[in-house]
Amino acid sequence: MSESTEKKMVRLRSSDGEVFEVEESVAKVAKTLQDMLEEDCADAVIPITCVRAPILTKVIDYCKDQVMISSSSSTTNNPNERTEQERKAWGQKFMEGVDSSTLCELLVASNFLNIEGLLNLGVDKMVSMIQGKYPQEIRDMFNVVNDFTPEEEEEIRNQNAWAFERDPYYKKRSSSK
Amino acid sequence: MSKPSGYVTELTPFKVGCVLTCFLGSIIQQRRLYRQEMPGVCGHDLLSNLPGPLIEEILNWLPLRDAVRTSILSRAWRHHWKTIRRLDFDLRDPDSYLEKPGELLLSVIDHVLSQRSGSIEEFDCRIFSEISGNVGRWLLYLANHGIQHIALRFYHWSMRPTMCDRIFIGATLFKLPSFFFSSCKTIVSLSLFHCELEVIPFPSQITSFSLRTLRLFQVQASNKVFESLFYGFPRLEKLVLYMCIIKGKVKIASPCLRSLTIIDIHRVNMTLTSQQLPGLHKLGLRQIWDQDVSVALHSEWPSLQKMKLSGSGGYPSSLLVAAAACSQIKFSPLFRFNGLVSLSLVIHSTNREENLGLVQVLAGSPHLRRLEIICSARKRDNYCTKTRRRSAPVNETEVMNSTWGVLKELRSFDIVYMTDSEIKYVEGILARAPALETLGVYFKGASLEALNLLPRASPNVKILQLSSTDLPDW
Repeated sequence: MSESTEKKMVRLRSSDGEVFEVEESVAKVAKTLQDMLEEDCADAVIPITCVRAPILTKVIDYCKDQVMISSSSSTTNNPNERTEQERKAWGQKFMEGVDSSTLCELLVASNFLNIEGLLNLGVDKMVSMIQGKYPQEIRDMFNVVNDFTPEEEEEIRNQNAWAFERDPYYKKRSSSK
Repeated sequence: MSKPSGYVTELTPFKVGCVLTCFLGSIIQQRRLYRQEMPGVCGHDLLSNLPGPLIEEILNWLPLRDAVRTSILSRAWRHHWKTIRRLDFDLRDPDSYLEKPGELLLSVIDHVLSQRSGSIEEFDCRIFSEISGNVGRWLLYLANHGIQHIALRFYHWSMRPTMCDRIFIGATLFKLPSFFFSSCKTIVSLSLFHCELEVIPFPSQITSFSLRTLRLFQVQASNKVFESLFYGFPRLEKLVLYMCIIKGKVKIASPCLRSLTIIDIHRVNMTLTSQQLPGLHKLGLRQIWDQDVSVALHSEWPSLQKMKLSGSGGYPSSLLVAAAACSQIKFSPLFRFNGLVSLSLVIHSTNREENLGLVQVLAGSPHLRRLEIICSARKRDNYCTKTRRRSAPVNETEVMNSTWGVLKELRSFDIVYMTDSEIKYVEGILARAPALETLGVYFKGASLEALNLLPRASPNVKILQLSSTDLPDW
């Protein structure tokens, strides 16, 4: 019991100034933080300049779960296919209900903190959000502004016509003109 | 120090007005720009914040069509897709562009290759073998762009895309151009579907070839050509042969091969020995008749750790038949799988050879930790393969009385589709596995009560009833 109370804590400050205190083992899931901690700057508050507090909360949740999973699987000592499936289901659940703007911030955060697992989850989620959508739907989802002239857009569409077949949104726009 | 104070004294109401209007004007202008650029309700373009490598990664995992579609999002996205390193021209996408006639697909592939730039990791396409004239050109392009993974799947006009994995006998097979093997030096994995290998001109200096994984599905080749693959790719680690037709007697000799899977192979005369495959780690022989592939069981095979075995269409598994034969010949030295940790097999409980063979393999595998038995009961179960005659019926006492050996390290044992006639396996194994932790059972006609009464060598066995989602994939 004494060991658990003496666990080393690390403090992280989000871009909007909130300070989070987490166990060292949790922080070390992020490779960037692991490198920093090994270079011994543990006493100070580590500024995470590009990550807002709500996103950092989510990232810390991920790291905590990761620590829990790795400690529980080391006790059962046979990480077989079944636990792999569970892990996948867990990842999907973690990403459930994440909207497009949170997802983009999560991706930037996990890229900055170098958390490979979270990065992969984010990329998977992003792929599943974009897949099968038409350009206008993607633009609406991520606030991308179409800065092509109608003529330019037409030309690019014709270059790879096979990819833009049956685009209902495009037809609508040209008919409304 | 005097300059700023002078500036302050020179400030007139007129100037203040000018500065103010300029200032306000610029704010208004900025606002307008802001509105023009960002019409979205909650502000800015979310994707523009993503670092470049991340965008590349996302595009790489998108289906090709979706990746190309991003070229129209905005000017910033115009050329992003052209750097993707994975090109998967997937036919099975339900509302895909590829359901159109084959010529369109050819022009699509040609066009995509001409637009993209940079090195390419993965190329996967499914095309009709009748219009495969462009394949040679693509392969040259891929060879020049550092290709690592290639999958070429050919199929026949009359085959629907969903039938891709069925053999089409009598169809004209695509012949792989002979330069291919000598030019693709960067290739790591290669999958070929439904084509023919002709003479392979490997150059005399062969050490530069890096191929690690080779998967051949419905590929036809002569035994000489097939054997030259192992000479040409000395670093091969994984080989999968699925419904291949190889003419003549074949031996597989590959020093680095770790994983070998042979499924449903016909009219092949192949012998596997530990001398020719000294590094083999994982062996899968599925739906194989014993005259097609035989395993030489006259020595130890210490590298082997995992085995998956099944016979074909009710005929017994070749390895089990061979093992059963070993038990008959008293003088034959006992074979041993000293490294075997995991064994998974389909058993026909009424087939005498398989029953005896199983007991032999278990006796020869003292370090087995994981065992999985899938019970199968079909009409032809008790046929003897070689003679296509009915073999003698299983004599239960003969099975129970043969040398079982002790399964000292067995931890996990699953038995699937168990009926009352397979209780003998559970009985035999429970009595000889002192370290057993879990027994997983999926019933088909037998009951849990019968198992609870069996004597056990291990004090703490947990008996689990498996659900249909836990069943192994066979």
